[in-house]
Amino acid sequence: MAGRRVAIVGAGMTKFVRRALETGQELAWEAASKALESCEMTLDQIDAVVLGSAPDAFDGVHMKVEYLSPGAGAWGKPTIRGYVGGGTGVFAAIQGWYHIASGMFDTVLVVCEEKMSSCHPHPQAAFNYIFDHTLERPLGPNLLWIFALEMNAYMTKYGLTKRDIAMVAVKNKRNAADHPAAQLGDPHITIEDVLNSEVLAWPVQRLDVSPTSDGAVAIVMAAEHIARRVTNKPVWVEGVGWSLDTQYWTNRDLSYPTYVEEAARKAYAMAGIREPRKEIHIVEPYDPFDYKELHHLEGLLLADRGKAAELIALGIANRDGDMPVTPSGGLLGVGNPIAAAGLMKVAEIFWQLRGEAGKRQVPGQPRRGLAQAWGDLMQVGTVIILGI
Amino acid sequence: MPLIERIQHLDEVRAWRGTIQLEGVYTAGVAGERWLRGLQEGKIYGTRCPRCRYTYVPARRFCERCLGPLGKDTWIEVGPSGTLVSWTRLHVAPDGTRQVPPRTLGLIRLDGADAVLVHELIDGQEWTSGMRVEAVFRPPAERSGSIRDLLGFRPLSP
Ligand SMILES: [Zn+2]
Repeated sequence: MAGRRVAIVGAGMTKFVRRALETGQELAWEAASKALESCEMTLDQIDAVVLGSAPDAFDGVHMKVEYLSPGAGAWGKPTIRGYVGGGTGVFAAIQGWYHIASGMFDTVLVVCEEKMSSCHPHPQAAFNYIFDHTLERPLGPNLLWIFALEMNAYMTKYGLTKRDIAMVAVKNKRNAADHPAAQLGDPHITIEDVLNSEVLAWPVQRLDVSPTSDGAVAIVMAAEHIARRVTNKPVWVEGVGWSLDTQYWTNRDLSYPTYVEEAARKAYAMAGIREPRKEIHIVEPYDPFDYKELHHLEGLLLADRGKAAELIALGIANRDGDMPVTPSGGLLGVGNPIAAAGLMKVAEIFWQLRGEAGKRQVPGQPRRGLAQAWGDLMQVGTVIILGI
Repeated sequence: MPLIERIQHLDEVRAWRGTIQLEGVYTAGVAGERWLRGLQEGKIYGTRCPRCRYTYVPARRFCERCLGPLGKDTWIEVGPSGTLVSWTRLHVAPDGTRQVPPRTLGLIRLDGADAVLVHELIDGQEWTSGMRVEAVFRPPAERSGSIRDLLGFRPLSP
């Protein structure tokens, strides 16, 4: 492990909702103040702030992290923006880690916010402008193209069916029914519901996709000497990793997320993990689409290529299975306020390892968990491993 | 020499024009909703943090200095008179054309507030920093719950 030991000592989040009355600043404040309250710390005990948020276009404020900063406790503090698109939520926690591991700061408040409901006609419209302006934009691309082409390539390569993949949406939306902050929890959803939902871009259907959401999440991170004073249940950062694939998305291996494997290998090496399938007890892979959870489990080396669907089918990925996957309910169920969704996964591992996940608690006192996110132009993998 | 100076006429190179078309639909927020309703009633509110002894205008839902909540009991009326902290006269419009007639903007610290509000100065007079000013509201029937329910500020009549 590089640098000083770093722990997460507190976490808080807002509800994830379709459209919040609260401004982005107010959402950030709600999460930040809850995180501080959870570990009985005050803002003057915080040395620095990391503020993560995805494209400015969602909130409709340029330099939105500067706009959000009052709600994140950034006044008068060294503050940095975390931004790697959808990978931001996990990356912001990694930034918090290196702020402290480096010896520069002892305590960091990490806040991630997204208010997607501001963006009209639909937040997806913001993604029309992430492509090459001359060579791709004239074709009118949008993100669903990438997902649909990728999902089809993945299904074709491994002979997977839509039904194999829909099981992920069912598991996560059912898990989310136990999450008090969830937007789309549904204890009764079935595979048929997913297969009968509106087709967006074949093979992607409405219930294969996470919703757009407003929300914020915050965590408090501390150096070991502070962490042990603040709590008797610090959750240690054991490993981190991140990696970027090519911007030429057509050139990627669409059936395998190499960028996730590269990030995971760095994190496993740092954590001294040789056999991740035995040593990782719970996992929160990034699941904006149901097939992406499978994709990412394979990239994380937690399943053989093309075999992640078996973990779902056999119940191994259930909350009471041998390796619970997305016990929070994930982006598919809790919701997807982009940056906040990634940090929600980090917070979920924190709560699970402390035995504080309430109705979502996985049995067997898990000791180590992994959260992963994915983003930029669908090319970055960000991974954090936490343990007690 | 920078590339842009060598391309004298854009039509000489193959160029694609593109615009980024997005519309924002914003909420005023929990504090903002209430603050704008106040303006509609001709009142300017602030919220005072009891811990930091600092009064925010416009009213905020939380204190950025301590992250403490600023609930209903912290709402106080400020102004409508205050002190001009600084001012500027705008002669060029955002699109680069001349601003005729010029506009004048000021920073106003309302009586009872610590924070400073930016707004129009209703022109036709000499302005000096430190002078006393007062808020001018639109007639009640024209108010819509917007920052423009305030027409601006004028010198405080003696
Ligand atoms: Zn305060």
